Amino acid sequence: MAQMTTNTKDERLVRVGLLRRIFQVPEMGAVVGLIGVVIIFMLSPARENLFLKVPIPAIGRVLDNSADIGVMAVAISMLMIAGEFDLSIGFMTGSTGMIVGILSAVYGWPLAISMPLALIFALSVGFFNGIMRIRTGLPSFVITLGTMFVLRSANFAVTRSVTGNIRVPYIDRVPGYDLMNAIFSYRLSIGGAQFYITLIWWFAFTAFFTWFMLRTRWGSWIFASGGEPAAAKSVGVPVERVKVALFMFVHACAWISGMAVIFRLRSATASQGEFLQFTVLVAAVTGGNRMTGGYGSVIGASLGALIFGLTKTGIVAAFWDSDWFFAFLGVMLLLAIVLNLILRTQAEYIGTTAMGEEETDEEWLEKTPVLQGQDDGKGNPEND
Amino acid sequence: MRKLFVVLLIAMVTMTLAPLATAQDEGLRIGLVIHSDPTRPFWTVVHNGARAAAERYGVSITFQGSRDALEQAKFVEDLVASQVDGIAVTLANPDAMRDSITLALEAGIPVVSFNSGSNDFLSAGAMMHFGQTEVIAGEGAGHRFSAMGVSKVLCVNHQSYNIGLDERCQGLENTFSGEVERIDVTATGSEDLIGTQSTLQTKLLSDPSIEAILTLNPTIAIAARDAINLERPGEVILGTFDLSSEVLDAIEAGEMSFAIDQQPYLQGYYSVSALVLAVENANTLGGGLPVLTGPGFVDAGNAAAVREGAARGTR
Amino acid sequence: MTENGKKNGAAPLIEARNVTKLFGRIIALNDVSFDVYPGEVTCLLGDNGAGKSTLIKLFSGVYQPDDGEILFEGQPVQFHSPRDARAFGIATVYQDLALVPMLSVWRNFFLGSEPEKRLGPLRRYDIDFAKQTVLEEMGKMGIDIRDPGQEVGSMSGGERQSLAIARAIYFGAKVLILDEPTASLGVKQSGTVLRFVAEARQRDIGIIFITHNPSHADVVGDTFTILKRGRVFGTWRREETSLADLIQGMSGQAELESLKHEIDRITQRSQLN
Repeated sequence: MAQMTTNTKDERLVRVGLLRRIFQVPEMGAVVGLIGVVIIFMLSPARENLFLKVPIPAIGRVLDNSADIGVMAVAISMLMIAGEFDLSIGFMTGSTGMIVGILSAVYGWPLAISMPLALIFALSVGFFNGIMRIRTGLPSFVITLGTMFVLRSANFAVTRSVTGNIRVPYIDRVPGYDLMNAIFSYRLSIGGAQFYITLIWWFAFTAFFTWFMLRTRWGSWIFASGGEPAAAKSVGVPVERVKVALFMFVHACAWISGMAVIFRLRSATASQGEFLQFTVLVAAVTGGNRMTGGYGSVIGASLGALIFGLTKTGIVAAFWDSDWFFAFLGVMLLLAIVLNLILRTQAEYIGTTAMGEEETDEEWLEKTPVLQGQDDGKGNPEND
Repeated sequence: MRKLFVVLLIAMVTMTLAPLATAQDEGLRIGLVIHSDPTRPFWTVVHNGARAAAERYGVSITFQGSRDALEQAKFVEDLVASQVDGIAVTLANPDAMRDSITLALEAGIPVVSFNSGSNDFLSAGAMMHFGQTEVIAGEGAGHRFSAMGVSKVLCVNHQSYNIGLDERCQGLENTFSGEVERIDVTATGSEDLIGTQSTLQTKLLSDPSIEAILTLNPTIAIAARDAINLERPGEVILGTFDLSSEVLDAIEAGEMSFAIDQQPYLQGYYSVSALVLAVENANTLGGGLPVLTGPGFVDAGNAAAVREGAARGTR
Repeated sequence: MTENGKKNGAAPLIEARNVTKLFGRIIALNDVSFDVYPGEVTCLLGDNGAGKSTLIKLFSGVYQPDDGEILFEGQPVQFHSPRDARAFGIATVYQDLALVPMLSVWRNFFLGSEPEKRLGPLRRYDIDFAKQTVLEEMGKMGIDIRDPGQEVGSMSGGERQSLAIARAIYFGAKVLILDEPTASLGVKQSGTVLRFVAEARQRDIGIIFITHNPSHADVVGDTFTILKRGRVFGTWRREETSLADLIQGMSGQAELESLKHEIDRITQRSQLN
């Protein structure tokens, strides 16, 4: 009898395991979203469908519209997995650009000095955000909201007082511009389509940091710091150091973004960054990352950025009213959040125990928050 | 939870199909991209002008914009990839737009500019510009004040770092027959109107030779009107740049002499028209110089008509 | 195998001698002596507030005694922090289990002590080793995990307890302190945990098992100590006592009796009225 039971148990496990695995993949919501958006735009009977008519330039546009969001989305998703968020990274892209613009284009300092200085500034602000979070215990949302306002005002105030204007032009006249342009904002023209090097940064980041999160111990630490910081601390994970490091990392990525912008536009603007702060969040959340931490995916965030880029390109090409754009985004974001929640709950619904033991009805019931209407507020079933 | 999902999905699909109801399917496709948020009141007037022209010519337009310079440039690149027939942009940051305009020109798409960039549009690659040049508008104000026989004008600058505003006062100085004194209220500006008003009051009190005030923004104009009413009612002539409903009220009540309107409706209207004519008939307007949509003077004579236009969203 | 270490004349692994602990004016522990032998389960019983938590926190380095001393393998020691205690091999499994529900079994097992392999300049998590080890370690304790990649959150309470215990053992615990491991578990899951505890005993580990469920204590205990209001009410070897005695000792039978008399008197009085 034991043998028979084992066989049926195994079969059931294999079948259930695969389904459950699919639902559990954190990127699933984003994948579904991506397929949905592609279908919507493919079917949209706009008079001339951009994607069918000129596919290569269309891809070029989609990638361009996704890439700078993508680079920052990768970074912010890691911070979100650790349970934190940083609202000030948007304007940090403006600050770093402005520092380089003022020091090099206005005062003539070499890029070899102004760029590292801008990076140091970014790292310091990240460090500050992290330390404030640790020391005061206030939610990172609140702290970085404050930093955001400071950066936003400073970007304008400093630029005005130094240059009497709100932008700094002629960055292309700075020595070393060509090299930096090649690194940060190089443009390749193929068959009428433009491809920017930012997309290489984006792909490389996604690949590397996915590996980082899943295949190194620091990835485990980041997930644990977000999921159960107290438990993590008690087994020796340096939760505080992990968080501060991530804040600094996110700002370093804002620096990369800031550099890409000023070298591409050949000027620095004080208003730079307003767009990025929320779109990066939209991308990360669409990709399955949660504000509450402990769960999420770097690939998901990149897929979220791709969805955004696809949506924006599609809307512009289809000549939709610009008002619809933000409404569409808002609904898409909500859809993504809800979809991710459903899929996650579904995954737990089809569960079985790690030991492969047959659950009694009692045990199964205990674990299913959907039926019981219970969870710990984070979408986790409350187990005993 | 599932119900919520279904509701949202339906909303999404509806939003996808709804724009088709308003879609203009005929004729040329023209894109306009501004350097600000398209939903702001000033820009909706531009948009209305563009729409009116589109209807008249039977073309379709899209109106996009962002305060983020990179996003503005990207919108232009999106339009180029989508092979539109004409592009109109604002050039608040000509360097930032230069590359994307070049791409458009290389693809054979004509580009015009409007609203900002009257000095740089040619070097940026635009072939026409529709807007107001600050210097000329200021000169218009100068002529106007001269004709009224005023001897001293106070020019109130509320954003001293803004080169455009600087040029307005400069224009005034160019043509005004009497003396121009500039006053800087950047510290209080439009955010602290009480502070600005009080600065102006002090100035009026201490300098009785001031016979007129020119403000560069409709909000500051109201602060100036209040300052005049408190210190020297009926003795000081007030003029301003740009319109608002309070400014119209003040003109109709006799508290303000004139407002200088850059006529944003025309900026949208003529950008579209010019592009259509450029594509269909290889026409250009302006001869390399900006086509001026201002200064359009609003005074007691036409205030009522303008007010009706404002209500319609066309002024 | 030194089951029943004391019986075989081994020295206590860890011992509290006449320890007193004060919190301000509150006497949490008063002249308490308590020891644990390798290969034995010592059950620490008592009502809430009796001092059980305080006593184990002395062993795990969270508190320091105000009087008396603590000895480890016969030597007096002072634990200034939980790290110190852990360094000696004293592992505490608290109620919150120090597990991260959204992470897999193998990640949880090695959290903070991840096995690594070098990949050129980069350090990779040796995941194959981790998964293999988890399978083996849980297997050795008699539990067959089909999928170590499963989330801990989807495991039942009993399995999670077992995982926490297996982890402590793997990382070299000499003394294992279990704080109310079966407190919120059903019968079947408690069984899983108790089985685990029995297995751990087989490996010469000294186990302190805190509970206020005398039935569970009875299943695995070699020695039973009841604490009442900061003092040791009594310590008995398994042979010296029975489940009934334990229940009675813990229940405060005498107090219940006098309470019953009080209530009877009151009801009788009201009946007369």
